This record gives sequence, C-alpha cells and structure tokens, in this order.
Amino acid sequence: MKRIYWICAAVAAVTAAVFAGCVLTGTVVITAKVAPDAAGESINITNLDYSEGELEVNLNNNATFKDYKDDIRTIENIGFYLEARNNLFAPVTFQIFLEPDTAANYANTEDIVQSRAQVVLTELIIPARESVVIDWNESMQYISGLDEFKGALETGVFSLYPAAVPRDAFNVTIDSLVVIVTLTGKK
Amino acid sequence: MKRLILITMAASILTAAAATAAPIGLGVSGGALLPAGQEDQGTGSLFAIKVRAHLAGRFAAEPNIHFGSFGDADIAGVGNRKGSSLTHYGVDITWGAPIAAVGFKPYLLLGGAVYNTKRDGDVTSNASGWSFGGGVAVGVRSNLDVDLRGRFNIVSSEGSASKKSVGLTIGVFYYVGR
Repeated sequence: MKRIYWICAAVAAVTAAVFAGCVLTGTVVITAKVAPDAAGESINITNLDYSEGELEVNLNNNATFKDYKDDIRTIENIGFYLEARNNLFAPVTFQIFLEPDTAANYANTEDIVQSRAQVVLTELIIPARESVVIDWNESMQYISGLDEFKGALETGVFSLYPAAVPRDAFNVTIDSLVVIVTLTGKK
Repeated sequence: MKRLILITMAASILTAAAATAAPIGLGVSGGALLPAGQEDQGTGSLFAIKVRAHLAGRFAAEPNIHFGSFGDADIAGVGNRKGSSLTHYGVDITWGAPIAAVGFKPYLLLGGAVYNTKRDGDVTSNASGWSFGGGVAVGVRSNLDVDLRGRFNIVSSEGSASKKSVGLTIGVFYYVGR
C-alpha cells in the first residue's frame, strides 16, 4: 500500500508541474475605457454635430493584451459597459460600429452606415429623456456579427463609432463606455 | 458519434465487469468547479453520477456524467458575466488500491469525455476532452466508500486552444453484486 502512496505523490507532483505549464495558455479579459475622454468629459453625439463621434481604441496600451498579442488563438467575444443618456423627447435605438481603419474619420452616421464599418452593438433602445446602464453581461444580448470583426480586434487598434436611429434626429450623451474583449491565447 | 462511442465503451465495461461477478459501485458526488486560466468564468458547482467497475489488477473503470456550472466572473468597473454550464460524460480509468474494500485507498485517474459548454452570448460547444487527477476512497465498509477526488479537465476549443478547469468533489460509492 505504501508504494501506491509514493506513486500517487510522484504523479501529483508531475501533474502540478504540467498544470503550471498548461495555464500559460488561457482566456483573459481585456478592458479599455473609451469614455469619458482623457479630460474626463462625456461624449455627446447628435445628428447635427458628430465631431466627437470617433472613439479610437488601442488595446496595445493594456499590459495583458501585450502579453498575449503575439499568440492569440481566438477572440471569444466582445462586450461593453455603457452609461448613455437620450436627450430628446423620443426614443432612439443606440448602436456602436467598429472600423478597423482608425484614419477613416467618418463625419456623420450616414457615412458610417454606407461604409465597411461593422455594427457590433445594436437594438439597444434608450427611452425618451432617459438614461441606460448596460453592464458586461447585459451587453451580450446586443452584440452582433462577431465573426466579421475578429481580425480587427486581434490587431488591438480600431475605432468605435456610436450611432442612433432615427439617423436624422438623435442626441445622445455617453457618460461611460468600456470595451471588454475576451480572448484565448498564449503568453 | 462521440456520444455513441462513449456509450458503447461504458456498456462494454459494465458487461465485462458483470461477467466477472465483481462488485459494481454506484456513486454520486458533489463539489466545486474551478476555472483554470479562464478569467471569464468564476468558481461554481459540480454534481456527478458514476458507476465503478473492476477491470483487472488495480484498474477500474468509471462511466460517468458530470453536471457543472461555473460561477459569475466579476471584472472591476464593468460588472459581471454569467458563468457557463459545463456538462460532460465519459469514462475514467482508475489505478489504485482494490475497490469494495475497507481502508484508505488512494488512486489516480485518467479519463476521456465529451464536454458541452453553454452560455448566453457564446456559441454552444460540444468538444472532446480529457482529464486526469486522483483521490482517496475511504472504505468505511466493504460495500461503502467515501470518495474525495480532484480532476483537471482539458477541453479542446476553437483556434487550437483548450479550456481548463478543476473539479473538486466529495461523494459516496455503494457496491452491489458481491
């Protein structure tokens, strides 16, 4: 019986060593704050003034992303944390588009819709003159078309363009927006 | 297909065990399911039903089914994410002290299974995987073991990657057929 104890103990030690190696490949959650901006100001977009619309994201500033960037096996999903206000007396459907080219710099939401930018969050209704807070888990029900923009997420650099429907009458203030990327890779 | 292979294997093992007139253990266990290297999952719970049959020498086989669920993952500032469910069924081969005997009986295990992972917002996955681990069966009577076990699961996933988790359980085996 003693022999079995020793063999089990030895295998447990080897297992621990293998385990330590195995967990170098893992699933990590990367977050990047997009709003408020560097000055601490909320982002405001309207159908008449879209000057604050482009929100550039650079995940390469994140230490964890840098560790995994060279060997990303798959992008699991993207999520958001969002606090937004509808400033008009009619409901709007809020959306976020993703554009891999950070130099695209679209001037208004009509241009975005016509472009190759992919809608990543959609169907989020913000009632008239109300605010919404959507956390990570809730945001998953509004995510659309992940496969279309996985490549852009792997580079870590892309632009987000918030938008709303109706295109000709919206005024939305984004008090907080955090991008959450879940990926599996190896350090 | 994987399901059919596993069911056939389990049936063959049980038939062979029954033919030797060795006791067969019926077991249930429960415990914790811990993610390993998965930041998008939290610690959850695990429940298992299994059958233990003597194969040869110190080897025994255990067809089993596990019902697990990871807990919520919580990332500061963005809220939480509901954990996945993880159901797996397969066959373990154990090596250790004889089953259905009184005493303190350490053992090692190696298993293969089909793992079903499901969560709102994620693609449901049915993937093959394997596991290894060990435990101690405390035979309080010749037909009753209290079983403490640790299992490390490795499940293949998209992009030549794998998802890993640890199951820690306590349970009982009741042996019939002696």
